[in-house]
Amino acid sequence: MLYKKLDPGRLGSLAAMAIGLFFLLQALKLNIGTLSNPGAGLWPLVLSAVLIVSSASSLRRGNDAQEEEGEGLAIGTWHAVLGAASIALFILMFEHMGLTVPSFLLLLFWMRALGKEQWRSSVVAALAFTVFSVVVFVWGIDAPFPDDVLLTRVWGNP
Amino acid sequence: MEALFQSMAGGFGAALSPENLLLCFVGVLIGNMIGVLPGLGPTATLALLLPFTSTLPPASGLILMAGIFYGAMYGGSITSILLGLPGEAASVVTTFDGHQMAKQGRGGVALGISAIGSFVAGTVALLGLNFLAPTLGRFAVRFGPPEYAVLTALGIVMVAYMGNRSLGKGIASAAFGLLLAVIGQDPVTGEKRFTFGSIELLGGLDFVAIAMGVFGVGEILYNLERRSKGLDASTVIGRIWPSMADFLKARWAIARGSVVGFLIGILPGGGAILASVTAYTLEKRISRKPESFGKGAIEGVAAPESANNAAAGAAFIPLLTLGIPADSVMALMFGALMLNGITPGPQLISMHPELFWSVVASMYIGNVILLLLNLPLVGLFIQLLRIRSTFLMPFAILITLIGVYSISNDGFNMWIVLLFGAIGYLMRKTGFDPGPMVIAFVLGQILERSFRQSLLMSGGDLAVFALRPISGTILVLALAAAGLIVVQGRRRKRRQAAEERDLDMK
Repeated sequence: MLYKKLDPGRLGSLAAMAIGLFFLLQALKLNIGTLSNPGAGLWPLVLSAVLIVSSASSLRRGNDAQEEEGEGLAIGTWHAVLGAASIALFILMFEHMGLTVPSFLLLLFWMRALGKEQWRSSVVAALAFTVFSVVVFVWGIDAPFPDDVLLTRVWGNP
Repeated sequence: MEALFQSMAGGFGAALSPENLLLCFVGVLIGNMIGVLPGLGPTATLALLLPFTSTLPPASGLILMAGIFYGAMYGGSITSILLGLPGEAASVVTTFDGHQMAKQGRGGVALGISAIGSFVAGTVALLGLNFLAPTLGRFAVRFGPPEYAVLTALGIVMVAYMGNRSLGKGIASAAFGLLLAVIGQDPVTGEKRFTFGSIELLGGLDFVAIAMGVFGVGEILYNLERRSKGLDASTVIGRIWPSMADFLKARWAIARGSVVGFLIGILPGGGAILASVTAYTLEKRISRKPESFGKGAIEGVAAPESANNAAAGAAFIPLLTLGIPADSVMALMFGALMLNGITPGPQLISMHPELFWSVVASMYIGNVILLLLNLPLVGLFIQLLRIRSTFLMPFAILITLIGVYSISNDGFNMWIVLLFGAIGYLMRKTGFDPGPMVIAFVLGQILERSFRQSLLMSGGDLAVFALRPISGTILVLALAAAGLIVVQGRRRKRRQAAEERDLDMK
């Protein structure tokens, strides 16, 4: 019974209200001013109120008829979490190692682990896309990426 | 009138020389290629390529610029439709139905209709620009903060309303987007708001990072979950070109979109975003099958695509006659004109008529070249979709992250993409539509600044929005439209209830 009342739709509405409350409190720290002389905080105050009220009003409806039933945790959710985590890892690696190695690893992970492709096609595709990205963005557009671990060893510092 | 045609002829004469034609073609091609890369929409593409235009003589530089402009705008549409990644704000609305069509194997049709619609709309806008520029310029100058405020507010409400889900959640999504726009410095007083001591947040969040996160990464993460076997293979590729039936279905959407886009594009503060939103909402409410929108309705692609091209063309009117850019793309064009030694403004037409008309002529030509170039290439773009999504999606994510990095050359925006990917994922799971949030974010800064300036002007009197003639008219029209929609909705419900009763009785 409790689960039914707390379906993802309603959880989302509650979360939205919480976010609204957060912004409301932050806005109050700023100078609100008056209508004739609006301060920095007036606008966010109004917006937070709108956010809270509108998400509260959606609380009653819960999940829309169009939504799928029982969007709870499943193996798919785990995949999404892994996907997000792999991106986080990529960003961290990228800032220290440049473009080539993290790109290849990211692509490989998604294709092989998440996409369940074969090893050979994954490696080939990951390699191809990495090379393409390097050619276009480093050589073509000359974007200033962090020093690349691989490229600097092969070609020296550009 | 005769003088007008003479000037036009002069402009075309200059624009139609072989070198200039080639320049236009090259511009369209390169603009297209770079605009296609996710993360690099028309704004970024123009920013990248505009410096090259200054090395040429002014008329040629402008022609190259016009080509790049059209190419980049269409490139953004390509990624919106095929990958669901909007290249910039105006393409967000296209993703609603365009990407659905691609998933159903009708990506080619969507691209084709987009190209045709854009061409028609571009022509309509250019004709308007051609014949109406001087008169309209005089009207646009009477726009002040209250008008801007009312227009953008309207746009946001429309977006919140047009989602398929509950209105409360739509408004909440929009409110959240507006709050995100607050992050950074107060536009009037310069105070820091919601920055939590972070330097990167001082300049506010970047639209591209948010859009890429919500629509790109977010959608991919969501799809990852729904198919627990992993990403699925891409669907069967159907027709590559729109059929006559498709075109006939879409033709009124194109016509209406063009007109709506033109009218909104002329207004300062209008711009392509508002135009595409309005056209889409209009089509949906007029349609006999509104439930088909959001699921791959061809009108849902034709209308916003036509509208944003018409608006982009029309936005040249305030730009060239008043020197007022309507959005960031126009601001770049403004910069390009200055680079080429032209100062847009009221004296432009009178003091440098040959430049004005060669710009107009080259826009006509760019428009045509866009169509000729892209219709055949649609087949090529579709081949890209043949690559299984298990390969394509990670590549799209990579390109997105790289593209976003090049905005500010630090990793901060990459984290924003990831964060909003998570937010987009959660929003979809809980029934919140991400579209209103993103569009509200873009319009939010204009809205707040205009709103506060209006209050300052009127001394805190909220009636200013209704009392000024132009904003008052807009409000009245909006209320009338809303009233019509409510009445229509009630009639439809009554009809449906009556039909159900008849079925029961049988």
